[in-house]
Amino acid sequence: MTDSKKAEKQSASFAVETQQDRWLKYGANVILSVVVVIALVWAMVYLAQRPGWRTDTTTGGANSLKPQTVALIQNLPEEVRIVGLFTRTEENTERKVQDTSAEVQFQQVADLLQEYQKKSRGKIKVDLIDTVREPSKVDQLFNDVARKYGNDFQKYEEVMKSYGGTLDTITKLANEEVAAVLGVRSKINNEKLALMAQEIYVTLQFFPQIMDTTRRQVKEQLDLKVPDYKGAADHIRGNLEDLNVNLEEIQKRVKGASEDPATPKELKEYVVAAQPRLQKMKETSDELLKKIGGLGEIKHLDELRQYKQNRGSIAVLGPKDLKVIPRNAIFKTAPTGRGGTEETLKPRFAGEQQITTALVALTAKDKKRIAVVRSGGPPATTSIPMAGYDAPMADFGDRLRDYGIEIVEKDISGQWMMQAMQMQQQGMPLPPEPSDEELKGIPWVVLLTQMNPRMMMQNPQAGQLGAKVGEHLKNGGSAMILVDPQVQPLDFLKDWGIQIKPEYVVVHEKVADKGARSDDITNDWQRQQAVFVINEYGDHPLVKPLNSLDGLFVPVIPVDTVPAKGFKTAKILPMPTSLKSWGESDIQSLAQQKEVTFTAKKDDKDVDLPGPLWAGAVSEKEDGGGRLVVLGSRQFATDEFASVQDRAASAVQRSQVLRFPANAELLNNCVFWISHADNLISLSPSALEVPRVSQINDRFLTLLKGGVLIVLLPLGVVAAGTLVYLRRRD
Amino acid sequence: MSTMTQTQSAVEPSKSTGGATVRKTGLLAKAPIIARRELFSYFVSPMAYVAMTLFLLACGFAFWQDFKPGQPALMRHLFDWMLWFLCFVVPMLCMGSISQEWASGTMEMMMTAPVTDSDVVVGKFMGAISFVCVLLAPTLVYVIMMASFSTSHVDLGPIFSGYLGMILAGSLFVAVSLFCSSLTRSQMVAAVSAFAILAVITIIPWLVGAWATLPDFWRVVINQGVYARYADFSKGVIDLGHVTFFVLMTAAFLFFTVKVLESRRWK
Repeated sequence: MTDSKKAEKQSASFAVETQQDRWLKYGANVILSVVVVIALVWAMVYLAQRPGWRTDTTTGGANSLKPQTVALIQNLPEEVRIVGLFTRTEENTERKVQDTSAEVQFQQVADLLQEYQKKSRGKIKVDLIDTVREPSKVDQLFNDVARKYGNDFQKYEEVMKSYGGTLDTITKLANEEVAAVLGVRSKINNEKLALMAQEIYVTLQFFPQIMDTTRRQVKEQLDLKVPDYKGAADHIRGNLEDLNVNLEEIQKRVKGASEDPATPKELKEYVVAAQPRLQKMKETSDELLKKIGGLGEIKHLDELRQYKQNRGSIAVLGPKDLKVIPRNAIFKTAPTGRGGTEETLKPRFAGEQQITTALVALTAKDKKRIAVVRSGGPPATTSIPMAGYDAPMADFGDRLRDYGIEIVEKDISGQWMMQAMQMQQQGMPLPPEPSDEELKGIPWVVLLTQMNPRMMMQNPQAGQLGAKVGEHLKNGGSAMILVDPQVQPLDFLKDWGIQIKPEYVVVHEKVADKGARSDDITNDWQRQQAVFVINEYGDHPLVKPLNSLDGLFVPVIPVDTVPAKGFKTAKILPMPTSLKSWGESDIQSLAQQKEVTFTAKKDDKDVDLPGPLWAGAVSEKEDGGGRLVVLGSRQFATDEFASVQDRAASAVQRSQVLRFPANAELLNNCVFWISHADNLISLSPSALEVPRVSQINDRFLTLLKGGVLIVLLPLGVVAAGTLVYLRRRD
Repeated sequence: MSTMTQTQSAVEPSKSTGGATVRKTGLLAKAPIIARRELFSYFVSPMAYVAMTLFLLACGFAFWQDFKPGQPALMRHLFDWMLWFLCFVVPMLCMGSISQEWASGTMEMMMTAPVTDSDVVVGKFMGAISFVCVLLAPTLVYVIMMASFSTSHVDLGPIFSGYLGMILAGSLFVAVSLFCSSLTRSQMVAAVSAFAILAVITIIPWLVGAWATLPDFWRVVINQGVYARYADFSKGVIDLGHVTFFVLMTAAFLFFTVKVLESRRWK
């Protein structure tokens, strides 16, 4: 490089930048780096979101699927599709920001479906269709459903393909017949016969028109976005039936004419020739009608169509069948009269319970059934409204049916069967009771009540319940037994490692009846010695999820375990010992609400049973076969106890809040356990009860809120600020 | 709040080592010192006490609604309210962080000081977010009240995730406010513009999402808003995507702020 060039380059490098150059150079640099940063942020957020890693910090997993659901969906044998049919579009705009608004519910369903998809490892595909804004997707779903699940649908399609040929044949035959009648009509002189021929002619002329109308009507139905095959088939059936009526009338007249000696020769020749042609027309029509008659209902589509009336549904599309869950099953409201009405209480979201139950039902090899077995009286879970009878455990039955479990009821004494027959004669429809044979192989829920000796004498069968249960268990069955005080001892239980003590009732020492009455009426109930509110249930998987939920138990008999070879046993429901409790043998005094005290011995004989005591026990064959749960209380399972509403909490929360959620949960869990449906244990939404702010005296509450929240904390800051100001001033 | 006095004293100890070399001693080495000074400056500012008092009063009234017998012992609604309160309080707190430096002329001195622009921005950010934590600290009294008057153990998981969400959202709000403060000499303009940006990314998406029926594309856009992401924290869910969003958005606004400060060298 020459010196002159070097100097030239040097001077160029020291050239002064203009303002414009600087803006261009640095400004472009800034813009570029800002764009890069924005792109990087977007890309990294997108990448971080993709795996869907999220953790639910709530103790009860309120924002995530329960482990039972996750285990179930990850082990699904085949792929399942779940489709939500909801809309964000709110009919009533004032409700938009309320918890019951379409927007909120749509989002809840969307979140839940996403959870299913994320956790299923590809086994579940979900779609959420806004039924108002995405009508084409709804149509597509209907078509998919019809094709996937419709054996009947294929038959409908076959009929729709072939019906045209039949109509053509009938049209052709009708036209030929019209021509034939036309040829003979002019040759008839008899007025009466001429009128008949005219009528036949006119009627037959209508046949091609009827066929055309049928074609048009069918086309209209098939051209719908979701072809209505059933509607089309109904049109064909209706029109062909009309045609047949007319055809039969013509055949009748033609036959009459053929037999009438007064019929002229020309006409007679016609009627003889016409009869087989008319018969062929009828047979052609009958053949198609027979095909249509053999078509079933397209039930799935009909169920799915209900989403409009239900204001939303979730369809769970299994490998071979589908289940449609209506909105009112997903957002459950309290039954009217139990703590509020539908208008005042917020629905409880039971989406997971319903979807998981549907998945179980769709993928299970056989449907779960249980038998509720009793020793007399009307059914325990089935109300008879026409007879004004409310079953004591109707809610229990409804809950299990929600889980897809079928319930049959059996009165072992056979008395109810006789009463039922009388009631049926009076026009009251009653569910049939199963035979002994039908009870084999399904788990039993046994209601063991104290038998009246007189009744026992009248019907000895009533006293055979214990023996029947023993036999059921011996044959490999499973059972849950709910025991009342003073029932007959059940010796066979010892073979399963369980012992009941029905001669005792568990009581606690008397609580002094002084001081102010509590807002919670159950506090008053607990003053009675035989009433227990418990929230510890033991460590067995059956009851562990219930710990910390309140349950009300009265009266309770002690249940214990004894060694038994080949069985795994565990005690559940420890009775609280915060107050001294024991097994009281003086049940008579308790019934008369007299105070009882613990008496260890009298005349050198044991009197009362010292604590600690348990109210239940479970036993399972070590080979994994039969299962048995014995609970020393029957009353806790009745709606009277299990459906008690927490009125204060319900009113404040505007949501159905059970005061003793554990009663229903315990019962459900026991049924799931004896049915070997462990994956359903504690799926129920009420198992997610959260801690609540306890009852606080109004004055203290106002003081606490006003004093701490509004005065103390802000004032503390003002004081600190003033102090700093004064110090800095000095 | 922030004055040259603090910034100057923050950089003074390093002068002995020589300005140009100090810049290379370590990444953001001076940021903690600036942060400490910045935090101190809040405690001597009447505006901070006023903002804190208003914030606590508002939170007190919000908690009043939740703390009723029979109500679930949860703080979800309070956390939701606190986000809205922070939308107003944080711009008030941070409006002078950098704009005051411009207005008082201390920015020119800072240009010659042995601190990088990143030190200044990160230091001021750390100071401000520390003060947000101080602001939130008294609300732990609410947790104690819940725990004391609960029928059973209070679920601490959602409370933890709620506070985490609060701090992450607070960080983003502080970063936005610092950015706005770096753009202008007027504290008022800085506060208003910061509030405007926060409204665009927080309040408007929530309002639109709550009241309008939107097509899917816009629904996705709305779900990128701050509230949609924060809501998971307040209900007890910690989502990696949301954490990443808040952290990176905060970092991005801090980066923009650094770029604004850098621009004074070439403008």
